[in-house]
Amino acid sequence: MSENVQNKNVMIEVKNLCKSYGDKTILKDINVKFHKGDVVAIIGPSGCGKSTFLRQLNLLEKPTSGDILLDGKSILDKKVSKPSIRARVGMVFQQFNLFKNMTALENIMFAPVKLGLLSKAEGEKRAKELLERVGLADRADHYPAQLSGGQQQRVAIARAAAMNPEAILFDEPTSALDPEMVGEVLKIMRDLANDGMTMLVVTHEMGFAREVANRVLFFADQVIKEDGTPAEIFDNPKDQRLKDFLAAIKK
Amino acid sequence: MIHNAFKMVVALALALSATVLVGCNENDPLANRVNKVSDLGKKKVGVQIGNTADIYASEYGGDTAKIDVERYTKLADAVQALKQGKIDAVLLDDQPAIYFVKQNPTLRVLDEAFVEETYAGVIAKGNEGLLDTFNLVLKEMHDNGIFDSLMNTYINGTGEYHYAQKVTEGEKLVLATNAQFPPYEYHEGDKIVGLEIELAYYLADKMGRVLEIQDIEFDAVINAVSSGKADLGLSGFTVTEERKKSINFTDKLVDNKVVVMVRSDIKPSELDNKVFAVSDLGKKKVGVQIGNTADIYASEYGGDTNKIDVERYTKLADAVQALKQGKIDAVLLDDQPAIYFVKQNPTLRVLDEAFVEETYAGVIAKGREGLLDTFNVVLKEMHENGTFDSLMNTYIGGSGSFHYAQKVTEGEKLVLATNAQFPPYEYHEGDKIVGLEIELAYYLADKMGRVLEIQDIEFDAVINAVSSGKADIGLSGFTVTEERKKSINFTDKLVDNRVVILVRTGMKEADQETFVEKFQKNFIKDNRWKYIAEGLRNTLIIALCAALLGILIGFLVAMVRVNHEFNGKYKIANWICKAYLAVIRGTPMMVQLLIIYYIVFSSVNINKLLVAIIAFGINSGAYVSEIIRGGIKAVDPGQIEAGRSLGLKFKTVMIHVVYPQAFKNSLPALTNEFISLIKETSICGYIGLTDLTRGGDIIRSLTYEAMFPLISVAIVYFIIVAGLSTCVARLEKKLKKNER
Ligand SMILES: Nc1ncnc2c1ncn2[C@@H]1O[C@H](COP(=O)(O)OP(=O)(O)O)[C@@H](O)[C@H]1O
Ligand SMILES: [Mg+2]
Repeated sequence: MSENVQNKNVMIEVKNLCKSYGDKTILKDINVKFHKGDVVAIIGPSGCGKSTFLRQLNLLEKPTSGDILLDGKSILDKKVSKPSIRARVGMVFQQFNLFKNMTALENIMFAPVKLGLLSKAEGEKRAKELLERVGLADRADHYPAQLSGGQQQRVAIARAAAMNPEAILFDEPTSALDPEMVGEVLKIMRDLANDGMTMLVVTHEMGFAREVANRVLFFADQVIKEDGTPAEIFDNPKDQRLKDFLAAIKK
Repeated sequence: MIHNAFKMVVALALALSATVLVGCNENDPLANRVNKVSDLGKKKVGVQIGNTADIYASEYGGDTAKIDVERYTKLADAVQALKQGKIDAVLLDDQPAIYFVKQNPTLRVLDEAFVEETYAGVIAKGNEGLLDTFNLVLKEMHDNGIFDSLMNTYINGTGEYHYAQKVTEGEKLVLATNAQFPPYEYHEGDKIVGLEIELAYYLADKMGRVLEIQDIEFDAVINAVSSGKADLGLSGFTVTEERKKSINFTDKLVDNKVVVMVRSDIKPSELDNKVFAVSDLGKKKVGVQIGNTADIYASEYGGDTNKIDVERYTKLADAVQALKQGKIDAVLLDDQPAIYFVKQNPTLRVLDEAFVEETYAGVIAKGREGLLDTFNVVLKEMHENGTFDSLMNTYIGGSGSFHYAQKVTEGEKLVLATNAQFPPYEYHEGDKIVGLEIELAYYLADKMGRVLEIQDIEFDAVINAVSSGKADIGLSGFTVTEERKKSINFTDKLVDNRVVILVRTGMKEADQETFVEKFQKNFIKDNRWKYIAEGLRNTLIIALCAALLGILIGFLVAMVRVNHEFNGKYKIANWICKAYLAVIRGTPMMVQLLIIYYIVFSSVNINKLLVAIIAFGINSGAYVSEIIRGGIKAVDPGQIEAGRSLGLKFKTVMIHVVYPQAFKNSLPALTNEFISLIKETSICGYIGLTDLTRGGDIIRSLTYEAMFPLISVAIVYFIIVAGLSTCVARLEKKLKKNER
């Protein structure tokens, strides 16, 4: 009871989380809390389990052991339906994953309307507003194949946002983009952050992490090696692995 | 697509025009051709010296159109000269002409006679005693039927009566003849035989004398008689005023026609493969109908060294067609259909010698002895009250017009299985099935108070239909065999049958029909186009419904398998689906159709359209499911992940995101599947359904014409498929709009 009061602002709490595929351990005894309004950048070498970590937070993967609490309640509880959790935690993918058989507008409004969160008219109105916000009002009736990578990722962010989620998880949202399109996507993410959206972003864009994030996690060797503010992580790294990593990135 | 369609149209048009060209090619008109009596003027024409033909030919044509007469001592020499093209025609008496034509298929006799006359014997003037005796004995032979019997044997070919000399000792009766004149007098083996020879034996017996035959030249016979060297001359003598001056003629023996024999159009190269007698069948290509007893006999014939090369056809009409086109050398078939086919095709003939003699009966399933008894009792009744004879007269004797129509119109059904391509026992006439056995079945059904339902299926399927309970009785010209008795019961005998040999004559096809006439015959006459229309209707119904059923089954199976693959559900259902796919894709469609009709629904009286829809639907489902599954697997898994990440249910994501994309992925393959489904329905004829192909087949069996029915059926299929392809191409284009 006292813990609950103490963690009033804690939105997501990860407790003793372990994940392995067969014999191979990916994540080992992770303990971390995220607060409402946090913008967390997650960095680390390739293959260290960043995506795996993120995907467990909205149950696309199942933890091997440990627990994840959302607003103080376990999301791994058998009584909790997975779709209801996922509806509360949005996800943006590296490969955008827009529904290819739907227009930009339909992509955005489909889930909220289907799940009964919005009526069809409301859904369409909201989708149009969101498209306006991501600067694609004139692309409403375009199919994904008719949009550039940057435009597709902007629609994907709008799609996640349309659900009014409590948090949005970004898994390398700009890694599949041509360099000239990275900026437009980061701008949308910055806007979202400024609006107070809770965001967990796996990224290699150190500029974005330093500027927008209020907290940076460095994953390595199956654990969170360092956890701090951007200034602590980038200007004053303590862990040798982190130093090496930052040096490698700078080159 | 449009480009492809165009190419196919061009190919089809080429095929069509090639067929038309082949169909129309005329034989080069030979300058020296004799086609009628009036062509004889100025032609080289052979005659036998002293024969009346010689006299007539020499007088023919006045000064301007004289015949160039070539005189031969032996008819055989004239015939030889004709065959070699040295002369253009031979004038000779009708009976020998028929005989020569039988021996030489490259010759034929013109329908028009040159002259009509009578034959009589010759006896020396002053020997009126013998003349009286001859005429008395001749009258006696007419009265006691011996003359008719000899006529049947030698002229009509329907008898086997022979008269042999009984008196072996005593005074001689000398007969002068020229034994090169069949069937009146000719050599057979080392004996001289013939109508006039046996007549002379009879006369000699009556006179108590021993006949001595002097075989001399024809023009020497009258001399021999008038000089007393011979008592009697019998050598096919035509009665003429000229001859009456030197000898006496007996009473008339037979009427005779001098006919014109010419070369037919048969090429000598074809002769090697010709069949003139049963003994010629060895090593020849011979057509039979599958399952007919002729098939069995033909396969057993000739031992190892002289085997028949048997070609098996499902339809007799196809075998006849092949014979006409020279693809095979003979067809073995039952005598009545043979007569019918010859009537339809004057270029064919039946050999006198039968291949096998046997009997026909109906077939009824074992265990249904009640029906068997009823059948036999009714058959007996039909024999007793004359109905059977009346039907025989109508259909076999050709001398009656009695028909029996079903009277009972309501109530339980009596199902008759038959193959209605076997005239005169069962065949199509207009849009009805008629025939001796059909009307017999109507009579039986009336007696039983039931309504006859006729199932027209392939011949080799009839016994199966009966033994599996699909039909109550089978009537399809069934020969009674020991083999068949093992699986069904035979009714009492219906008729006797001979398996005969059908071959080509030397005759050319009558005047070529024009394109319009052929069209009329195949489509307009008797509303024959209706077979195509009905077939088309059935083909469309089957293909459409089977496609829908196939999509349904295919979708369900694909669902089970995809669900199993994604999240391990439905283990048993998945196993069943895999077994279904393996079986359906591992066996031919045709076999599946037969199994579903004869085994799965064996005892159920089920609509055949439904059977076909089920069979093709089940078959198509297997292919459709694999196509859909492939289409689903080709959808990026990221699509499902994105959907789930939004809190949508797996099912929702599948229905609204994955399946629409999978459908688009699968469309080309699905189109191909439906196109092949439409074409595959062409095997429906095997369960007796009139689909498009069988519609054309029925017309083919009625008109003996391959081109029109087959080409038009092909065109209709092509239009359906091309139409479908175009529609799908449009749909695909519409779906493509969400791609760049
Ligand atoms: N479904 C899976 N089965 C087995 N191994 C996996 C699976 N998904 C990821 N991995 C492994 O887990 C490790 C972490 O992967 P990932 O979380 O994608 O790394 P990151 O996103 O940090 O690059 C990698 O070694 C990867 O090969
Ligand atoms: Mg990753």
